[in-house]
Amino acid sequence: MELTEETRGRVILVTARGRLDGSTSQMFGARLEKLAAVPEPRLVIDFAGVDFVSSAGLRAVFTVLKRVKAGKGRLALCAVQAPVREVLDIAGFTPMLDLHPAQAEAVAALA
Amino acid sequence: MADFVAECTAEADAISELTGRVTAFLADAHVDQRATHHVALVLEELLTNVATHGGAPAAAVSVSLAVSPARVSGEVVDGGRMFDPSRERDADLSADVSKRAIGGLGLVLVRRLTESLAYERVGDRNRTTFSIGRSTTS
Repeated sequence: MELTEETRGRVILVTARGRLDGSTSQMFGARLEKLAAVPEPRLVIDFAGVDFVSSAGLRAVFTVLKRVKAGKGRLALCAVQAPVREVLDIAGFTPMLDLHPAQAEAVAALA
Repeated sequence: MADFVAECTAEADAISELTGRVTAFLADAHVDQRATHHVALVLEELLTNVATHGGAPAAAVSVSLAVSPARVSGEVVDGGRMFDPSRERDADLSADVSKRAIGGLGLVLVRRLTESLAYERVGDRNRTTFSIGRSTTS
């Protein structure tokens, strides 16, 4: 799992590539929580390059979401691949998440 | 007769490497992408549970898969503490973010993605078997 970050105005855009599973979720969660540890964080995570998410990955996303909400911020995911979307749906995460098909829309929504 | 047989330890990196090999094997066997993904994810969850509940993550777990026209059948055998994935309670998926318990998600995924799931304790080993249907569209 590789993570790259850039700022787009007030929004922090994180691009994730690879698998979000038991071997990578801790690193993912730690990095995202650090980025979320600001007042009113605005985080977009681009999932276009993520082809596999396990329950460990779901827990990491959930923890980041809670941190963002605690800071009165916003979290959005974009470009989630179909197999990953299916996992989000089964786990009941979809209603909790702000999902966008494309990066530009997600960034604009949080700007 | 199994088409794929492997052993791995129930440690995160080993599990990740194994599921990568399984994905490649199933792709070579012309299993559709959706079923392939589901098999890899079910194995990831079952093996991770061996580490979480089995009490001996460094011990070897054996995984075997058989591909037939309609389904992929799998078997996971480990020597950990007794853990029956077919009996655990589902996580509460209806509570909101602030109240959600986050445990149990792995087995929710396993149950939803498999067409069959069975468990038996054989001597001092847990034997979990499952099957996942392949796409019937050409």
